[in-house]
Amino acid sequence: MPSAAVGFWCEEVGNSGRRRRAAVALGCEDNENIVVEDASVEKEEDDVLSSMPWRWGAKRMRIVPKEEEDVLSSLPDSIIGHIFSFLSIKDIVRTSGVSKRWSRLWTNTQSISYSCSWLGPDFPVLCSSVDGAFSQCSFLTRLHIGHVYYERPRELLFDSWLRSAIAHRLPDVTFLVDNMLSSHSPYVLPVFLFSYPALQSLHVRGCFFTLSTGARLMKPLPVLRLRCPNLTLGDSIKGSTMLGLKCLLSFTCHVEKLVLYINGLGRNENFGLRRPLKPKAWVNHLKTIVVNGFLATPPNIVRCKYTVIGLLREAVVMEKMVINARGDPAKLEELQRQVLCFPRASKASKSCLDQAPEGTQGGGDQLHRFAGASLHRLINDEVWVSVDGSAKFSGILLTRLDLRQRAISPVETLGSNYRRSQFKAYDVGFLKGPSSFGSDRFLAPPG
Amino acid sequence: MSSKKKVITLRSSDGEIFEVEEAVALEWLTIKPLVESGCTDAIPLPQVTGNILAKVIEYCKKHIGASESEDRKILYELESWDADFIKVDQGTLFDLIRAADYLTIKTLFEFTCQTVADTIKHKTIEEVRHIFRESNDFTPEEEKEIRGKSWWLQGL
Repeated sequence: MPSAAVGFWCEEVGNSGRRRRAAVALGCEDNENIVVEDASVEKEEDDVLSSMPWRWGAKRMRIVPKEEEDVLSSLPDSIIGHIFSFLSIKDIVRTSGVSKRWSRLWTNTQSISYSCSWLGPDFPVLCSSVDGAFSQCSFLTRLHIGHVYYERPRELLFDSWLRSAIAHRLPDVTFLVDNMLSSHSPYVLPVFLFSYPALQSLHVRGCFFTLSTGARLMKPLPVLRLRCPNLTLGDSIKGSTMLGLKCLLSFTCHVEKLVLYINGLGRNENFGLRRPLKPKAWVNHLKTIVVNGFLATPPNIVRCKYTVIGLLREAVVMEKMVINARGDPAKLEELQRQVLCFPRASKASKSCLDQAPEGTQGGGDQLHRFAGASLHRLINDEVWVSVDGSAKFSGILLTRLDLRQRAISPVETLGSNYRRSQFKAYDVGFLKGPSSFGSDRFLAPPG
Repeated sequence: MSSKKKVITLRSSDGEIFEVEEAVALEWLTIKPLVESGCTDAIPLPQVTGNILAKVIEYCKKHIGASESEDRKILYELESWDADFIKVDQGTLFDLIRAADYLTIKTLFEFTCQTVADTIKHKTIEEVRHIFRESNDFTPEEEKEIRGKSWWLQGL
């Protein structure tokens, strides 16, 4: 228990408004810590004493014996696990070095989460930490690997992580992979992932699907989120997104919510089909579909219309469809009108076509979600970065950025998933203008 | 909206009596069934002290209805209010977590846990020890071994 205040503190109020503070304890034993309570400083501004250069006080100090029970480890394990699940695996592992009592606390974590690996020296440690977490933590519910860079030798490693996730029956798996160059062979999600019954939510980016035999879901997968999906049929045929998606869903026809982040770079990657969908059972369970990053060019709109109308016809239980699109407002309105004319649109299903006004899409740390679409503001409400054109925004690669000068504000407020210093260097690069981004271009990480 | 709102009476562990609107109490899943059953007596909350319960009620009153608001301005104000609200000492913060867990108030629980997590985030081992008043009880050999085990621990 904290004992009563024995001691005093003094505070010097400098002209700059900064305070220097010194505490002196009287009769304080060696095994005690002094805690100067920091509350109610403002209140005392009115105090007559505040006009004097030095202020003295005693009531704001308390002395806490060192032997006091550490409050964090006194919390129930489940709460500690919940607190740790907000931290990245790096921070979690680090806490094991705090003290003996803490060295086991981290194994309560419910989540393995890591993002922003800048090709850095972190990677080997990430591997050992993830392996350590899988072997020692028994309350895991989530694997979140964001922005790991893929190269061929890592294939087995990624497979082993996903295998461990399955072994631990994690319901929530996020796997966002950055491919260095489009010519590299991307990571292909292992087939066993789709035959994994406990999976509730799958969120992937930059991974290819292989739809060879056996790729089918045994149990419902309520949420499937794909960021800029690259879908392959078999190992080699690159289909259009919708075509690949259709094939994927024909196997995994239990998906209830589908969120797509469309790159919008190539015409094959837009949300559209050349012809209306044929009746198939592939969207039987689909309740919600969200499409982000749709670029509304005239040919895309025609395809999108087919797709939407096809979906409305096929997806009998669908309740909500959201298309976050950008492009010519007149064209979007036309599409919206046509879609809303469809009989079901006004009854069971809610069809809303959101045209994102300049700089209002996205938010938070979700910059990368809009890879290829507009890059938008983040963190701070006042600051927006709006880039018209297409940018593939992965960890280290910015491709084909066609920048027309728009209102571009200071860029250090961009995405929290990236370290600030990196971002600065990055953005200064692209703010210089379109000339340096005429073609695919690798940006070296800042030193 | 009717002018007369139903009020629920709560009694903290130290016997203090609090009154909250029914809408607030319905957010607390632990006592929700009691509230719904039309209980008129004071609901005893033996695990929550009066000063903590007052803070919990303050938070829930502020947040009811506001969290779903789409208005950026309201959300922004709420955020800064939250930041002020959570400026409490560590003991109170942990008591708030326990209370939120006991009463099953999801928003407050997530918020307080997030706050604790934020104090650990990006800190060195020494800083974490300082924040949580934890002393280093490893022997030098043990510490060397731990630091050698993980690159992230080196030089921290």
